[in-house]
Amino acid sequence: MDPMKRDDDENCPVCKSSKYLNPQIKFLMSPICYHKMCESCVDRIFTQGPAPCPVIGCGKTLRKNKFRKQTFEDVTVEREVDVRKRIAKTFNKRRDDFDTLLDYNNYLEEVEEMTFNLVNGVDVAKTESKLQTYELANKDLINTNAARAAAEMQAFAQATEAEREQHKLARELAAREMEEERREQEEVKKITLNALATGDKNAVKIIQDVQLKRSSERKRRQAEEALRMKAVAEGRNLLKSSLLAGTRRKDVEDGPFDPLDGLDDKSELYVVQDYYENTWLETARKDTATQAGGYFVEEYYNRSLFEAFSGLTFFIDEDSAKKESDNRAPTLTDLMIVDAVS
Amino acid sequence: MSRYSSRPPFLHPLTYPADSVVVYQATALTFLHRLYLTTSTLTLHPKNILLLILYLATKTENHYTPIESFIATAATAGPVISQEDLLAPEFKVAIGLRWAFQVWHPLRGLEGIFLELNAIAIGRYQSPHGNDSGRSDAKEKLDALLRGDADRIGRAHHDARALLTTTALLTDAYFLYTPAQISFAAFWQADRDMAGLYIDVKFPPAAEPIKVKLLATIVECAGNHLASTITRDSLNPYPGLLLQLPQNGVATSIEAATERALMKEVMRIDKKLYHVTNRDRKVNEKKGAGGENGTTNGNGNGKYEGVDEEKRLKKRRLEREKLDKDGDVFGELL
Repeated sequence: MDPMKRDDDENCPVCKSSKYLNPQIKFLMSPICYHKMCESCVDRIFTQGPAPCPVIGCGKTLRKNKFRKQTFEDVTVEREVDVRKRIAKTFNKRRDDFDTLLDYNNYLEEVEEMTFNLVNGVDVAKTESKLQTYELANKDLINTNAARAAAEMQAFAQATEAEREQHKLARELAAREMEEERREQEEVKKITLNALATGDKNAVKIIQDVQLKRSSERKRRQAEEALRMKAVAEGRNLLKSSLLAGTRRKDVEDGPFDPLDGLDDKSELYVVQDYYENTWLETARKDTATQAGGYFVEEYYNRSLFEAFSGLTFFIDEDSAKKESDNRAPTLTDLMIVDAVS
Repeated sequence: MSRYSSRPPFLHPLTYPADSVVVYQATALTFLHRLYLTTSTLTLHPKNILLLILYLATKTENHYTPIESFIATAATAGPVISQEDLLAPEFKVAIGLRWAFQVWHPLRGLEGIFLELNAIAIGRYQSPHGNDSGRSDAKEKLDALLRGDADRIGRAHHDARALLTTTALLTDAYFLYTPAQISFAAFWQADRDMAGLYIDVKFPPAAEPIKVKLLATIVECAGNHLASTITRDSLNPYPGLLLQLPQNGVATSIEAATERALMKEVMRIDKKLYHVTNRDRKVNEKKGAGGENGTTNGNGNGKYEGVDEEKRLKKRRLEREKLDKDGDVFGELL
């Protein structure tokens, strides 16, 4: 950025005091009109209650409690961040609120378009009204998602805290163990020296054996403890990841996989009924020999109706014309003719 | 012919009860049509395969007759044939049919149409679109059309079936329309109003474009192939194509088939076919006998032909010798 401009920035546009005159000067701005002024001006003008912005030509009503410190040097960036924050509060749907990825992506695109409109001042009134209607229509969902996000944040913080605690415990345990070991060794050394001083060789051996046993016992205990800790940490990680993954994933029962994608052999043109009146079929139905041969009159209904309607709306000439045009790739001659014409 | 009397005593589970001898005939005729699409009469003479085609048709239509009894039955009707002769062309025929033996006859679909029509008439029709109003609507419409003439459905059925067992089998309709379309065309030809009503019942208002297209196709099929008004003098709807149509002199009834002029024409063609098929064999026979003794052939000028043949052979021998001398088919190097 231009250093001259930066210098200029240091002035309060209302009272014209600057950092040079008052080194403790603090600049604030209100996210209504994003006009900057110094803290003393804010106090002076807005302590009595809401007042119009003192910048000439602005005149927007501002309140003292809305003033805050500017985070970004560029006001447009500041404003965009605010707009995005606001939009994100309303449009807080998640991937698992949608059935397909396409729906989710479409939603994201729409949200981004609205954000862009608000940031760049395109169709502001229309976008605002759209935002309002959405907010009203989806109040419940917005609240649930917000609560969910808060819960997740809390859970995450708790998990992190617990992990830290765990690490601390493990460290303390290790220190204690080491201390114990050291003390024991010293003790053993002392006893051994005593035994040596009295000249009891047998006792020295017994002491050393006991010490060896104790240390191996301790090592085993340590290994067990480490294993337990590890298991706890792993369980916590698992819990954390599942919390982050979102608890509201819809378990839609899709049923078994369907390779035909819902296509069935039911006709749109007929329904097979259980019974059709036909004298001839009656004889077949009642004839024991026919029935014994595995003949089903119902099967006959099925087949004759199927044959009456299958292929009824398939037009051979149309199909062959289509096949011909599919097969007819442009040949070299065709291309040459096209070239010659154009 | 009564459909009931010709029923076999035992029905195969896959048989259609309305099937009768008509279906074996229909299948056999379709086999003949399909076979001679790709096979020449020079390769397979129709006379030699007629019985075999019939035999294959009975097998295809689940009315299998053991070959001995088939031959015995054939002998009672006239033609005597041995088992080997009957089966000799079987493989060639099967290849000519491309192993596609099943035939979807429109006359079977017709039975389905009339099952439904009868159901409509007694008010038991069930609409596939799930509304019960379709049932009473259809019945009212049909009642209005029949005006108490309950036999009209049976008559339409009979007429349509008659068309499907004769004309439809003898023209090229099978190659140009789907079986269901031919069924409906026959129905249309038998009783226009009832067929129109039935199609109206079947297609909801939303499917109007398809219905219009289907009606156009049905009317075309009926008008070009099935109408009884078609004679040899009618206009050929497929100019430039030699299709099997009554307009092209194809007989659609037994009377027309046994017409004197037609018989004469067939005999002339058969004679020609006989000479063409046997020409090569005769030449070989003559050569075997010395070439001089041949007295008969198709043109009655066997002697000249024999001399020509000798000259030609000599010329060829000389040419071959010359080539052997030169050593190259394409002559010397340039």
